[in-house]
Amino acid sequence: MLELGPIFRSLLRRKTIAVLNAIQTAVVIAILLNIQVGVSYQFQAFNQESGIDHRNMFYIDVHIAETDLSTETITSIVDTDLEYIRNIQGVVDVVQTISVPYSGSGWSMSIDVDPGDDIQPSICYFRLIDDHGLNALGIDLKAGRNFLPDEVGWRIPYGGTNPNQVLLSEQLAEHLFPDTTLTNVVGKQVNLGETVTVIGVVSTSHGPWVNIDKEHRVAYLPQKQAFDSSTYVVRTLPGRLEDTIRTVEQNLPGLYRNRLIRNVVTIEEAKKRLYQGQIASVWVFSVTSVALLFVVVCGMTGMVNFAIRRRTTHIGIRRALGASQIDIIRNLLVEYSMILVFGIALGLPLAIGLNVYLVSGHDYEKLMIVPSVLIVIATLLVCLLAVVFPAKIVSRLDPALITRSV
Amino acid sequence: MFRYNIFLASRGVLRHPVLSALMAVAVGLGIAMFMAIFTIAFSLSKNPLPDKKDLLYRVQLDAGDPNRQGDAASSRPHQLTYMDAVALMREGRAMRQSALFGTAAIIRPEGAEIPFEATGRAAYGDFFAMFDAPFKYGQAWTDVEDENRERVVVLSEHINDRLFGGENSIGEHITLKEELFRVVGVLDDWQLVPRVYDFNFAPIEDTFVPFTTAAEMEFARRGNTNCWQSIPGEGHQAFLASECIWIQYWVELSDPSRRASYLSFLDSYANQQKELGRFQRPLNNAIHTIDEWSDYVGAVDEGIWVTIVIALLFLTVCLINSIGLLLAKFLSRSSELAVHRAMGASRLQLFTRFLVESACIGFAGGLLGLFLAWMGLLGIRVLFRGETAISHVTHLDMPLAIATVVLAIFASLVASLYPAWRGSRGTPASLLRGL
Repeated sequence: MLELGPIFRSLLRRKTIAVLNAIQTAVVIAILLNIQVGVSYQFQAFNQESGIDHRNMFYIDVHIAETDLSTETITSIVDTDLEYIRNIQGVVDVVQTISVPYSGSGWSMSIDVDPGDDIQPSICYFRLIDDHGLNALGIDLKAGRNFLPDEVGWRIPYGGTNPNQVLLSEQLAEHLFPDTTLTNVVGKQVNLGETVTVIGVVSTSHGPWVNIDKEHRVAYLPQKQAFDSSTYVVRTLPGRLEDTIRTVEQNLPGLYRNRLIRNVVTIEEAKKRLYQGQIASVWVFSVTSVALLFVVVCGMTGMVNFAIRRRTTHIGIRRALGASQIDIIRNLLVEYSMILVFGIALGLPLAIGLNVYLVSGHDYEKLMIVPSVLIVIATLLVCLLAVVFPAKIVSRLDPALITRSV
Repeated sequence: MFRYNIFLASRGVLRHPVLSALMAVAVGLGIAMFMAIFTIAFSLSKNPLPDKKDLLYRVQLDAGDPNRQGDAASSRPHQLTYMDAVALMREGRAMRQSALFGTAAIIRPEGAEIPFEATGRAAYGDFFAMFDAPFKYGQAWTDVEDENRERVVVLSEHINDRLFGGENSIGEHITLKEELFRVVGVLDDWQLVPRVYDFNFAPIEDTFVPFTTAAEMEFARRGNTNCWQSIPGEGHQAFLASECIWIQYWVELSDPSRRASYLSFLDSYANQQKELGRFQRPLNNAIHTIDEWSDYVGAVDEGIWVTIVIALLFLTVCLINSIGLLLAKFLSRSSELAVHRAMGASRLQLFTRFLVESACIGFAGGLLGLFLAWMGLLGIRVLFRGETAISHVTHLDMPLAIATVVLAIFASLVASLYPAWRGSRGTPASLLRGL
C-alpha cells in the first residue's frame, strides 16, 4: 500500500538532497531536545512554590541616616514603625526581618545536630522574626508552637548571643532529623554555635536567593533587630497592596525624621528581579527554537520544491497512468517521512551525545523521555507540513501539459 | 572580468529570488544567533586587564573552620580575616597590595537635596594603580593617608557629576557617615567588566575610602561575611579581632617569577600563626591570577557555554540548509550553464561564478544577521532591564560588526563549495540535449 520498496530505491538514486535533509533533521532534533531540558529546568526554578502569601506582600528597606544612635533609640523607632504599619487599614501583619524571600540579600549560617561530629554542618538561611512573623509571611505552623511575645529579644550589631529557641522550616527539620516525625522534632536540640531548642516546625518558604536545588532550609530566631538599617515585610489583604505601599511610603519618614527609604519592592517584583537570568535564558532558548524551526521549514520547502519540480515529468506520467492527486501527495509524504525517520534515527544518538557532553562538562540537565518523544513527533509533523505545500502544487499540474515534451 | 562575474551573479541571485532570499534568511539567522551569544560570552569571560595577567594575584589564606570538609581548593575560604589582611599589609611583601571590602555610605549633599546612599569600597591607595583606574581629576591617596586614617575619598565620575556637576572637585568636602571627607580624586569613566577585584558583574562603586578609615569608622559591610566561630566579646573591635572572613586581598608582583616566593611568604606567615594557635587546618594557601580566579570562583555561568554550543549547532543547521538551497539553485540552471560551457567558459570560470553568487547572498545574509543580532542584544538588554554590566556587554562594536559580515560571507562560500562543484561538473553535450 505504501510502496516503501520502490520509494526507497528511487531515493537511493537521488541521494544528495535526501542526505542533507536527514542531517539537518538530526541536528535540529539534537538541539531541540537539549534546549527543552534547559528551558523546563529554568522554568521549574522560577515556578517553585513560594510558600508565602507572595501576591499580597511587599518589603521596605529603611535606613536611619545618623551615627552613634543608642540601642534604646533604635528599638523605640522600630517598635513605633511596626505599631504604625500594623494598624494601617488593609494590613494583615508586618514583621521586621532579614533574609526576605527573593530579596537577594540574606544571612546564612551553619547548623548541625551534634557539635564536633564529622558530619559536614549544613548551611541554612536564617530569619529573625517576632511573634507576628509567621502571620506576616503567611507561613503555617506544622508542629509545636509559635514564639511568645516575651521570648522575642533584640539583636544588636556585632554579636549578642543567639536566643535559645528556634523554629525550623519543614525541609530543614527533615534534613537534620531524617528519621523523625515533625512532631518529634519539637524539643530536640540543634547547634548554631550555641545549642538551642526546637520549639516548632513551620511550612517551607523560598529563601532570599535563586534556589536551583529546591532546598529551602530556613531557621527562625525570635529577635527584632536594633540595626540602623531594617527591612519590614508587610502582608496586606487581597487587593490592598498598592494603596498600602503608598501609605507606608508617604508616612514612614514622618515617624522619624532622619531616614531614607532605600527600597520598596513587592515580592512578585523581587521574584522577577531575582530570577531575571532564568527568565532571560528561557526567552533566549524559546526564540532560538522558533527561529530554528523557521529556518528548517523554509529550507525544506525550498529543497522539496526543487526536488519535486525536477520530477514533474515522472509525476505527470504517473498521473496519466491513473494515479490520483492524493496518491501523488501520499507518495511524496511517505518518501519524506522516510528521510525524516532516518534523520531522527541519526538525531537521537546525536542528542544523547550532546547531552552527555553538556551534563558532564557544564552541569546541564539530563534528557527526559516523554517531552523528548513529543518534541520528535512535533518536529516530524512540522517538517512534513513543509512537504505538503510543494507536493500539493505539483499534484495539481495537468498531466497532459507535463507529459507533452516526452 | 570581476565586474562581469558580479553582473552574472546578480542575475543569478535575481533569477531565483525566493531561493536566494531563503538562503539569506538562513545565513542571517544563524550568524545573528552566533554573534549575539559570542558577543556576550566573549565580554563576560575576557580579562579586562590583559597587561597584568600574570602580575595581579588574589590571595587566599586558609584560616577557615577546621571541621570543614572537602578538597584543598574547595574548602579554602575565598576571603581573609581582618587580622590577617592588616598583618599582610604591614609586611608589604609585594610591589603593590590592597585589602578591600565592599561598603555603602549615606552621602549628605550640600543644599536641599535629601541624603542618599552610595555604594563604596574600602581600599588602600595602591588599589587604583593595581587595577588601572583612570583619573579625571586628582589622584589616589598615598600611604600617608592610609597610615593616618585620613578622611579622604575618591569619587566615581557618575557621583561627581551628581554632586559637583562634573566640575573639578578636588579639595571639596562631602559628608559620609556624618563626617567630612576631602575629595582627592575623581575617576574617569571606569568600566571594569567583569569587576575582577570582587568578582561579579556589578558596576564600579561610587565612592572609595581608605580601608583604615573605613575600619575605624565602622563602615557597613556589603558582601559575604563568614563567621565560622562565634565572635568573642561584643562590639566592632571584637568583630575585627574575630575569625570572621570578609576581606578581599590582592597583590601586584613586580615580576611573574616572584609568584613562588610570595606564596612561600604566605606559608611562613601561616606557620607563624599556627604557633599562636590559629590556622588549625593543614597548610593550604594559594594565589591566583585574574584568569585563574575567574575559573576558580566559576565567575562565568556554565549556561553561557551551553548557549554557545547550541548557537554553533544552529549555525550548522543554517549552513546545511544553505547547501541544499544552493544545490537546488545551481542544478536548476544547468541548461543555461551548458550554453556558457558550449560557448567556451571553463569549469573553473563557472565554479568561480557560483562562488561569487553565493558570496553576494552571504553578504546580504550578513547585513540581515547584523540587524538581527542587534535586535537580539537589544532584547537581552530589555530582559535585564538596563543592568549596567549586562548593557555593557550587549553592544556590537565595529570590529564585531565587520566580523559578522565577513563570517556570513565565509560561511556562504563554504556552503557553496559542493553545490558549485556539482553545478560546474556537467558536460555541455548531455545538458544541451535537454534544451
